[in-house]
Amino acid sequence: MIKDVSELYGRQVNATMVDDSLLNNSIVHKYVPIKVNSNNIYCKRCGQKTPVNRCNLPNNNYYCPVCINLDRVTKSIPLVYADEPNDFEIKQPVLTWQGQLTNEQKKCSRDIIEVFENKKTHLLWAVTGAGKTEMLFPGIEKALTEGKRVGIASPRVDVCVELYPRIKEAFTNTSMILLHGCNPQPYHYAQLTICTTHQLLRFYRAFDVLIIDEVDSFPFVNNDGLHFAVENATKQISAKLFLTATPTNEMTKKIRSNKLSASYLPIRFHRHLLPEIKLKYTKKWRENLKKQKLPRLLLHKIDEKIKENQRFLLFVPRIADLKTISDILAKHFDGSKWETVFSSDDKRMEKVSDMREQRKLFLITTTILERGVTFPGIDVIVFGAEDEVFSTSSLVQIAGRVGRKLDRPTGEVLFLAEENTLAIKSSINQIKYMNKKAKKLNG
Amino acid sequence: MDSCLLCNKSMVYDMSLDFLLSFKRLPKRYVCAECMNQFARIDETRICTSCGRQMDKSGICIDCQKWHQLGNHFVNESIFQYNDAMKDFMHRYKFVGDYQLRMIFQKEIRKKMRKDLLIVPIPVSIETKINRGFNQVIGLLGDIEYVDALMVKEKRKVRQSKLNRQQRIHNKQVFTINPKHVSEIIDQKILLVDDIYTTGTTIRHAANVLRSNGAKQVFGLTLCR
Repeated sequence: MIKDVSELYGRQVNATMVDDSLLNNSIVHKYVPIKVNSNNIYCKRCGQKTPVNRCNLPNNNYYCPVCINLDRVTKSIPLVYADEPNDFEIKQPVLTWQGQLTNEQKKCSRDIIEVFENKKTHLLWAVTGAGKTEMLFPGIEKALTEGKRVGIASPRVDVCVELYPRIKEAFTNTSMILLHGCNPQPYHYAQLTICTTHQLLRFYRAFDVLIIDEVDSFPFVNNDGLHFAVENATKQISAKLFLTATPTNEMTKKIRSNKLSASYLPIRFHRHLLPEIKLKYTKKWRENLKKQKLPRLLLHKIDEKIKENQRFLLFVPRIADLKTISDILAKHFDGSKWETVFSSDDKRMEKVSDMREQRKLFLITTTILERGVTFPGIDVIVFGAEDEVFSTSSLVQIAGRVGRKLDRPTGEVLFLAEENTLAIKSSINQIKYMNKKAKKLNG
Repeated sequence: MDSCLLCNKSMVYDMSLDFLLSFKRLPKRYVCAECMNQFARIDETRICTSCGRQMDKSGICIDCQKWHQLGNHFVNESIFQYNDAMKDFMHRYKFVGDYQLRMIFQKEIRKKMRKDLLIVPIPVSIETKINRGFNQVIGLLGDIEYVDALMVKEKRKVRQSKLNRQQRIHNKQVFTINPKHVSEIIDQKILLVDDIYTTGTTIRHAANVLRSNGAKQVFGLTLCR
């Protein structure tokens, strides 16, 4: 039960969650979240329409099935919120990060300050491993110092979880909260919010500055509800900064037609080029897999990496492929060298940390580990790269896991595919394009 | 194209030429094959003949033997096992309140209906009705006709699912007859429908109320066990 009004600042919750004393307070606004039209309903929280036969409840009541994962909203229970007052205590120094930005990073970071200052919408296109997070620091510092409420959102839980400690360390004196579906920590009002894009649906005109990381990734990309959430969670006049390493076609079109301003950072912080993709063909691998056989090429590669003690990630298209491939590998190699990981794996966090702490040589994974996670000094193999789950942006991100640290700025990126696809071609081209730009910078 | 109510992925229909030429109607599906496979149907050749749970071979399970010692010989039938997928379904349907999920199993329930039986759903408390907005059992029944013969008697302080087995078995009678429909059950054979059979206490309490108000025979049907 919410008793403290600060928990309603810029945040909308079901009236049943709020204490009566607050409901009668005039600073608390109420509204009915569901609008019933003749053959559909419109949810004012997520901006989505649903045909009536999918959302009716008995007694002429309706609910929204689209955003139901964040508590159900119904026509019979109002949503309540209070206006965002920016009631923050600002403790100096705001920025407690001591690092240095490279010249290229500094240039982007000046753009970011300007975007925040003038409350603009802007895209930062920076290659994987460019040091995007650090570039944000000066902009965030300025915004926080001015008492603005700042949000950083990512479609991926893993990215949020990895981001939080880094932001926490950089802004030790700022009140901060991490919000995602699996976090049991209760909500409190904070100046800096790090959350999944889904959680944005709970905010209403809260943020002066909202940064969305990995805008090209699932589930944010092509999800109208989440785009609506960005508009709804930010103040009517506010700054929105989108970050990506692989902009979608839609975004590049907007940039070209000047509907969206953009900054580029084609070079990694350590000034080395992105490792380029090697593509090899493995014909009829799917049929052979059914016969419990893996391509010799793959077995040979894995053998080589085990012998060299070279850590790597093996990406496969489907959850169902994990066990099959793992079982076959176990006939050839020491099974204690790897784990398999997928999105709803209960032990996902544990397995990832096993890999990070070098207890495992490699992970067999679905696209879930394509972004946001850094394992120093790894190589990657994508097996079945032609599968439709591997979009251009997935493939660029996967390649981007390699060579991120200064002590090993290179590494192998190997795609094994039945055939060449548009996504594979354009991922190869995108990386080449950014490298060409980077070479110019390096002179 | 429809998407699966459980995993949201769009569903692929069998559009083979054979199917198209058969001029059969496209079967309405709510859940994709992959999600449906997660549910475990009870194999009726190996069940407890009293409570309907899955067993290695047919017989009377230990829990029902205890009920029989207490003189209670209630017979129940269930369609699915209460496995992880069903647990997740129940959570989303009942506790999150995604009412559209009721459609997934309506067909399964419909198949179990018999003309000679009067259908009575287990009721929910007025409080639950307000918070949840629906009775989950009535949702499962779809457009099957039923008689609202029962009511929840007292305000229970704790949710049934928060109690352990012993507490639940010794729970006092929670149901009472609905005076509006009491005449309709007299001398009738009744099929009591619930979403889940856990210890069997709920459905037995309900059956006792119906019997003591004149029902001739009472059987049970639950979606899962």
